[in-house]
Amino acid sequence: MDDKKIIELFWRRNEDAIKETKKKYGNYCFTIANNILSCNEDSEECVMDTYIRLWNTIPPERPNCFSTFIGRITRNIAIDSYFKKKANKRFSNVQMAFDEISECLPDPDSDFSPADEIALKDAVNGFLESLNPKMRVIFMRRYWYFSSIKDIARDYGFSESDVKVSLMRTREKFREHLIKDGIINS
Amino acid sequence: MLNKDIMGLANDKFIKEADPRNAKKKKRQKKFIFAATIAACLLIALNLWLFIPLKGEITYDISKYNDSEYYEVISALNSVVNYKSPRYSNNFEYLFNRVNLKNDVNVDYEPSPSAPDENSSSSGSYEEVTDNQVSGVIEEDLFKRSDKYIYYLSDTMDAISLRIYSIEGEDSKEVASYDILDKNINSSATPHGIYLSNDCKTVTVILSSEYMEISLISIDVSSVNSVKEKTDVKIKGYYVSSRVIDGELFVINTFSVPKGEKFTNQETFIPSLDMGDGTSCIPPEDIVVPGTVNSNSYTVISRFDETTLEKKDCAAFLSYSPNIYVSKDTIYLTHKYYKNNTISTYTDIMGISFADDRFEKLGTVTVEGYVNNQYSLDEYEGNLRVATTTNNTKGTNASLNCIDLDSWKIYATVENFAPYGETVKSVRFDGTNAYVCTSFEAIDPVFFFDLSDYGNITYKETPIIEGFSTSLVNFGDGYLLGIGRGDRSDTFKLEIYTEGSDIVESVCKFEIKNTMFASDYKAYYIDRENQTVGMAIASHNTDTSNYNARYLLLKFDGKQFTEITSVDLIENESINYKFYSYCDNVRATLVDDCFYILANNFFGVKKLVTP
Repeated sequence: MDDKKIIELFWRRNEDAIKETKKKYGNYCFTIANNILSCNEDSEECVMDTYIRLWNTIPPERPNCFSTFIGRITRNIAIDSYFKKKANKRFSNVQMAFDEISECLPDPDSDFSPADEIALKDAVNGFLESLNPKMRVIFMRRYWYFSSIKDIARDYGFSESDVKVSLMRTREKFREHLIKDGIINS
Repeated sequence: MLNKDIMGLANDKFIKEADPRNAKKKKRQKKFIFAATIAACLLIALNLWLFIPLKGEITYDISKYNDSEYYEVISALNSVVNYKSPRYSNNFEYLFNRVNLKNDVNVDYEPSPSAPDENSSSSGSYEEVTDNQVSGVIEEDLFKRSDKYIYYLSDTMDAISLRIYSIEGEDSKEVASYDILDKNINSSATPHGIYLSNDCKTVTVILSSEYMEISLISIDVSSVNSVKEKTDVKIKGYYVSSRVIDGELFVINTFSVPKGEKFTNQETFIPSLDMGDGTSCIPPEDIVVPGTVNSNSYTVISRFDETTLEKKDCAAFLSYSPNIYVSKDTIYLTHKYYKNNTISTYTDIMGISFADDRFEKLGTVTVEGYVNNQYSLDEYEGNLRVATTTNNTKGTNASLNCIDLDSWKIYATVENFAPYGETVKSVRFDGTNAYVCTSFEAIDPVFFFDLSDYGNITYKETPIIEGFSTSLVNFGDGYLLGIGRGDRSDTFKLEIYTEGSDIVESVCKFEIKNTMFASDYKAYYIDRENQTVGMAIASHNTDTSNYNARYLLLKFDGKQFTEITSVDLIENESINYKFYSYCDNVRATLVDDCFYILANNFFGVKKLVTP
């Protein structure tokens, strides 16, 4: 079913909206959740929470891009869940991803105003815009979707070492970009 | 405190771009393209294997004939008669056991009308009764006449006979009968026609007497009281046609070499004649072998003195089939073939001059399609005009070609002027005009062409008309007569056409339903000067299985056909095998005010009353 029609079902408070969402995006949400949680049961729970969150969000929301809207919800729920259960996931894929990107992060103890958050968001998207599509997709797959190096390499026909090198270079550029924009100190 | 998830700030478009499902979709697409490419390559390879023609082989060694004077002919024939073609033309046929279908066109020879010729001699004057296609080029017919006698070639169940009748009006009678062949002995003999010499002293009879043998029998008719045979010439082969031009008889026949021929006996693979002194094969220098041989048949042209049947010349052309047109000094042979195992047909046309004592090849040209009969070709002022039925993947259609006879090149063509699906049924060239009737099943348009400017050929056509014409006749005063059939095969139809400002118009129509009628154009009496037409029609009684036949003479008065006279030919006679060709054997002619009608077992004279 078309995304607009699904959203329309949510607005009409028709429970077929959940059924259609599950049919179209169920696997997608599970993949996002499982990349983060690495546990089927936790991921299923996360996906169910996603549907509940959707039902409570639409209306009033009328998202322009339903796939990314639902993806974000799932991701956020999964990350929250991850951090709650972090103690058992020290060497997980998500942890490694966070560790990799941590070099680019601003000082977590520093004061961040809303204006700074807006500047950070602009800086992140400005950086992503400047990347070539191949590097950007790899970067997003790793640090937004939390896909493993292996999965990224397989899906795009690269070797794992190529993926690692690409990610490393992209993180360096990202850090330089954030320094240049004054988001982080050198 | 900032959430560690800095990438959560990424815009939707980047998230969407990196959606893992896209990668999987692309992978699936790549796999699909790869599989489709492999499948396409396999399909191409399979088709190549299925449809590449299988080759045959030549199964007979002719090296022992290296010293033969006919070696060139033997070599050419061997590639055809001893070629073993593969049982199936390709692997596709082998797998599915199908047979290639090739349709050969049945050629109906129908002479075209031209102005009657008159010749006088010391023992009577020759009067032309046959509506010859080309003036001065006489065609064989079942009857000829002088100013005194009518000569008719009769074919009954008992005999093939020459019957001679006096021309004395209502007192006319049979004055002589000469049995040429006893049908009780040779029941399969077929008469083709006769010629009357200019001096009216000799009738030459042409008939097929036995399997693959043509007889030319010269009969002395100088005295009706002592009709006798003078000469008998035999030609090996099947009769095609003949002409008499300026006292010379040209006979065209085919001669086929059997498959598996071993070339041990020249008479089986070289055309021959028997002038009464034994069989004599055509010498090798008189045999033309073309570059590409794809037939085991010759077309043979023999030239004789009309009265003595003395042989003057003979030539054989290997690989040309018998569909001919003869002008005053050139014989045009045509050969139809299919190109490269397709349904597209082409016709090679070769011109053979007989202006001098020896036959001489003038040139060849290839046109698309095939000709209907002799009327499909016409030589006029140094040009050869040819109307053909074309055949390709779109279907059948009609084309008109104009060929320059100096260069033998096509320099003007009107292609596909008929609706697709139609074939040429009849053609008539008349100076700078051409008339073509095409048809699909039982519906025809008739086309009038203006050939006065080959650089700008224009034409008009009729609206759709029921039935079609098998013969088109220039009927004078701008009228075209169409002879043929109506919407059903047992409906006889005459129709008059004239050229309007934008279209060809039908002036009037005459029909008779539930009848048999002649398919041979020569069976129709055509009088252009008086715009009169005559024909025999026959109908049978389904209850009694008997049939009646009568002869109708009609006149066109500018608006419609009216009946001048009707003569009963047969009344209530039992149907036999001859019924179906009865009308083709009827002939008629007008002498003074008497109309003479002849048929097998019938002779009648009707005095016409002038209205």
